[in-house]
Amino acid sequence: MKNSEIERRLKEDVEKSVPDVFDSIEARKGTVIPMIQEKPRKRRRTAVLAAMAAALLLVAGGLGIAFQSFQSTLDTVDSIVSLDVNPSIELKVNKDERIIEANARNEDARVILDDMDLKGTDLNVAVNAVVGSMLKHGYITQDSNSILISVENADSEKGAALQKELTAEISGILKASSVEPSVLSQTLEEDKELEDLAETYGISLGKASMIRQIMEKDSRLTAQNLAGLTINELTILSTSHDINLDSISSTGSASSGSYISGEKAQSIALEHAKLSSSAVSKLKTELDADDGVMIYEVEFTYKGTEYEYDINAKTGAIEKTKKEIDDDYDAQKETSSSSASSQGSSSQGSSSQSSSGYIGLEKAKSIALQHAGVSGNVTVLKEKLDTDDGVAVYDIEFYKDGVEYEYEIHAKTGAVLDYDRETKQVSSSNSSSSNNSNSRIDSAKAKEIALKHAGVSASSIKEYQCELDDDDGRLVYEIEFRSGQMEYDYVLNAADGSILEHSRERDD
Amino acid sequence: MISICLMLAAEQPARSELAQLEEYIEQIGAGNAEAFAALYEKTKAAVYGFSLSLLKHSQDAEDVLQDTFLHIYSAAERYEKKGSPMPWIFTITRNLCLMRLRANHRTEELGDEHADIADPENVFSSLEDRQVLKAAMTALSDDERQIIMLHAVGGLKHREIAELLQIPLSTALSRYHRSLQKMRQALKEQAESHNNSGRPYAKEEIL
Repeated sequence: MKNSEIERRLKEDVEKSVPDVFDSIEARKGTVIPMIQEKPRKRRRTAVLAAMAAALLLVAGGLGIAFQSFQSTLDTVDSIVSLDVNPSIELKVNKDERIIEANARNEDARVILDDMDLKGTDLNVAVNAVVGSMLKHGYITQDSNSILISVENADSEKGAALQKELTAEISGILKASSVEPSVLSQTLEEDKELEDLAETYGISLGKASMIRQIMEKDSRLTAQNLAGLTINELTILSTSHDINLDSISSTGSASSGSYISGEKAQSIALEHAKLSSSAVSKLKTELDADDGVMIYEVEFTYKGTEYEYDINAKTGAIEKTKKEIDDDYDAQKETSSSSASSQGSSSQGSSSQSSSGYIGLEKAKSIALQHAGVSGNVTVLKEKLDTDDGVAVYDIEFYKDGVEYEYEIHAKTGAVLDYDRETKQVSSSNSSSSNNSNSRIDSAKAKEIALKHAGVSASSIKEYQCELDDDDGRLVYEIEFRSGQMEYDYVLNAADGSILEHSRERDD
Repeated sequence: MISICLMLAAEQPARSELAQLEEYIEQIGAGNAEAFAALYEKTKAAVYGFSLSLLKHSQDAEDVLQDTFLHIYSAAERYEKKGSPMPWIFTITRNLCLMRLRANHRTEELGDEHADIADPENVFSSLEDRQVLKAAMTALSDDERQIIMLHAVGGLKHREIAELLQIPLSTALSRYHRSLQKMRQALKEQAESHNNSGRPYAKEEIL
């Protein structure tokens, strides 16, 4: 037979074999078939499989039934796989490891998932797509090379197998993109408490579990401060705190390439305080987290004044300065330490915190002093440009005549947003402690406000959760609930019931 | 963009035919249902043959045939004219096949009870009257089978095959020639075995 004859007959044979599926295609039009580019992989054919195959030929009739029972398991969640870098993505898969649901657990994850439709895709394909997108969007880089894989499956053995498999898969993808991988992985069991933690901070179960383990080992680290960190940052932080996360396996090590050293942070702080390392005592530098930002906390004492600096671990910027008069020195505060503090405060005033459009630290301070009705020499304890619910504010704390004042000043308008005064020494106080947050709405009222705003009735909602929380010194109610297809989140000022934040999204 | 070689082998669709296919895709993008049906008719064998060469399983290949056209339907808008749409279509098919192979591969590894639906042999049971296809399925390696399918049924040129499979042109050509040799040999053996036993395909010979 000639070559062209072989080709012609092969074509004929195939044409004879093509099933007519046009009607099925017509019926399924509009179905989105997710696709990503893949490298070919060879199938393994084992003797066992061949035997099974031969057996199947004899029972081909049973195939349809097998298919049906298979179909019924399609929508049942078998495993939950979460991938955390900073984007937190949760993949719910069925027994056949096809994606039933892909959820973005934070803003970054929404960027990653964007218009990807992973539903119905094979888990491996989805993982490839997600990790590929994280690389593309720069969430995984040489300097931020950590990813956490968490697998939840009722069958712990199956979970462990999947954990191992995904670790290998993802390591491979990262290596192929010239990123030395740091892959952390764990299996999770159903855990109500963990779910609550994850819900509260809007993070995945996997990340919540990692954070909980860190907190168990070091109680100074709080979920509030840790929740916003990337997996890479959490890993570096654990390492620096000598925290061994025993239920998490890891390969490779997290890169600290994008951070300044502890020594560097220390010298930034000392330089700002105009002190030399030899002049101060109790010098201590520790890597820490503040509201999702990696910082070095530098502490030292000079002539009875405790200095505390938060230095941004990435940029080296001074995020916060705080001075506190050591209790032992309290009696002498007006004499020995006043010079140090006034010197300190003037240097703080010139710190690089001025941003265009802001009134400036000095102006904010004078507004606070005027509001407090104090004048003359005060000891500044804290002055910091901060953001509160997305609003730039100056946090000012100062001390005068046995009273500690705390102010929150709007950075642009100079309005006093919040203030608090407290006598430092209760025993010798001559003025009673007054706290402006003692008038507070109750949770029932908070619920009423949120529901009214959402325009839904109390009877139509489910999974209602309400939590009173401390948001940087301000008490807030964090409320969430679902109604119909929507998920609602509210943050209410507990003092006056005003809505600070709210969101509504389709719950899919 | 890719320039089209003017030398066309006898089996390959003529230049105007490829242009016609491109036009169909353009029209599908504009929502023309007839163009979709026409494209399906013209290319279904090529898509199915290529799926079959990768998957070696008729049911899986049938699924990929469906999925390929569903994808074409939704992606037609974004198609950029290149002279021939076949490499584009085959890229879709190939990706869908690889996704499926991975899924099957994972199912096997986990010992899932449904692993056997990906039986690579069951396609042969219906091939008694299709000797050449049977030879391609049994005698060739996966790589060889893909190449001959793409060439004979898909009408791709060797250069296009090399590009699609990301292999050097020389490799594509040598595999093509080797697979034709193997096919000839296999067809010869088939004929002899048919004459000797009257049973063209004993199970042991396949395995």
